[in-house]
Amino acid sequence: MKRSISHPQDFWSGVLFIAVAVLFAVSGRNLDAGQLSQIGPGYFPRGVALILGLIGVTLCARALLRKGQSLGFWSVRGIVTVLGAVIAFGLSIREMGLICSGLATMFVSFLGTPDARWLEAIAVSVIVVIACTLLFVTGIGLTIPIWPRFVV
Amino acid sequence: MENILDSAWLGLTVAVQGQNLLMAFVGVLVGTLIGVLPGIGPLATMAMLLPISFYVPAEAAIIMLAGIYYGAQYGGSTTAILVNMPGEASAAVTCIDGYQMARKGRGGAALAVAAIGSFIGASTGILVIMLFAIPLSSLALAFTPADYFSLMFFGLIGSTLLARGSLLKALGMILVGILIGSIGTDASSGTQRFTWGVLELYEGLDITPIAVGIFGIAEVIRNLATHSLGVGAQVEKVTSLMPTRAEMRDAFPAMLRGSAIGSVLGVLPGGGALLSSFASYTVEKKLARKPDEFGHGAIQGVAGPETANNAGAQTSFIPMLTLGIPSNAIMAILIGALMIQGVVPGPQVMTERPGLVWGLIMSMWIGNIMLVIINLPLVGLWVSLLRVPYRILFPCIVLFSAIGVYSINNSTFDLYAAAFLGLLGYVFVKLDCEPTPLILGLILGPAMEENFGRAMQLSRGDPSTFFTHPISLGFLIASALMVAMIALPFMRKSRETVFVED
Repeated sequence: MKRSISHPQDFWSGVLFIAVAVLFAVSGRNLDAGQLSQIGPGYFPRGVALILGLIGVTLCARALLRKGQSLGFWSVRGIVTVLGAVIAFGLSIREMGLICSGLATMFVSFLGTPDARWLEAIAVSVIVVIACTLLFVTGIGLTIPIWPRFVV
Repeated sequence: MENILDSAWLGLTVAVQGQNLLMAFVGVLVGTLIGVLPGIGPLATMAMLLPISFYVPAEAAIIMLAGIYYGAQYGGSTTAILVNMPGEASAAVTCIDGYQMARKGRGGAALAVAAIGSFIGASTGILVIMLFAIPLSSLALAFTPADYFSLMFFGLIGSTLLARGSLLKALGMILVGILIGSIGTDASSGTQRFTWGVLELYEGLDITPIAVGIFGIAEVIRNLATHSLGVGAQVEKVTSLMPTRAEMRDAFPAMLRGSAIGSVLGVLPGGGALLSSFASYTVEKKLARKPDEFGHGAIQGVAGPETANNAGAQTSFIPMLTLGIPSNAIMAILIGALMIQGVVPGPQVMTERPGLVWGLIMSMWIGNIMLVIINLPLVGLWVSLLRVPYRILFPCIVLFSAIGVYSINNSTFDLYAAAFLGLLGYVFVKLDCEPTPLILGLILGPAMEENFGRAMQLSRGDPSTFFTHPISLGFLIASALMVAMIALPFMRKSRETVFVED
């Protein structure tokens, strides 16, 4: 990051807003805007994207003049493990069922902190996964498979 | 008046049905639990439990979800007083004097005053709901599309005024929310838009993956970077729960003022529990005979905010119940829950489903009585929960989130969407962008577009319709006044001080 951006939080917020505005403006370019008396599906999103883009530009411009906080430390380990745990659940739940999938999700999450103690982690995972199965599948009746497909 | 009593009686018969009583109990119990635990709030919890609420009737679902919100207001104070950490954002100011009382051995008194105040505040709030529900909703039934559009505009502008941090960013977040809300099938023309060919997006994104991602998952990632996870909390000992007569004499007027402040601020767009507790603390400090006691265990500093946050939590239901418009992110989730149940939120719900609305209102009385019992005698149980360190808690939060998101449609796409929005939510944290305006924009966006289109159709494309309808004009003038107020240096300054402790 260059030193000349004195307010990185505002600057990158502006960049994010512009990116969202451009994304919606471009992918909605073929939508019919209609007329004011009969607005089409493109009218409202286009107007909103335009204003959002203007706000983004203002934020970026202002960020060069004001002083503010830097973005600070990014928790890369947290991002990878927590998102990884959710994605792992998605990848495995249909084939592997709640018990295996749930254990995998718990274990990947535990990797998110260096403070995890492994015996404790295993015990907690087993208890929580069994409790979830009893509560959500047996109790509430969610239609989630419990066991892997190749077992049952 | 007779009307209100009849409705209240009808509501009571709904609220005391076995399943509804049970769900109210589950709601306030879960609410207290997550209120006590720092690092997980009512928003993320309600989002996680939304799918499960699908498996019970609308009445029971909404009673449970509401219980989580107001129950969390009780639980949050316990952690604030005994650990000096806000279990709930709205209990942040309670830490200041509550913890000092606990260190002086008056923690039990602080807990008791907080619970009594909470009950008084909540009761006032519920009474206000009962008085205003019918008149407001019959007023709203006469609204034209132009009036509705301007009302929502007013609500969104108001929520930026009361949001923390930069106004420009809050406005931007509203617009991002509106754009995300426009993904899917356009209601009036039936056209697909912004689906990028993804089949799962044809019906739009559900609120569950969005709320779980932005409020639940992003929060976990943020906590992993900041908390020291190794140890459980240091908890102050609880002695006698009885406040002395002098303490009650100081606390009682603060509770009455807190009830009034909370009841008013709860109704405002962007208002609710959080704003009410901060405002009450400021007022108590100004009015106190010995202001220097504040920060060293002044009981008014516990009684006022703890009463105000419960009053505010209750009255923030008013715009949602009578107009179908959420005043904060919690109410947005509740509207999401109603829509999952096939109830279209709006003033007509009051007449079409009186049992639903009044059942909820009357269940709040029952829930609050349960809360006083759950919180005071059982305080030891909740305190022992605080010894559970975050390193054990957060994997459970991740798993619950995953199960909740998956079960709403049995869709793995929703899980990937939640992961993506969790990443986006963490980026928002890093950029200091408050996510609440995004959720409000998301919920209000489609309704705004629809009402804008209808208003334009009725006026044959003449935009002056927004200024010729008196109700619409009133909301637009009120919005302009709010914007002008924010521009004043005095308002800007006090806005910064109010939210500085968040």
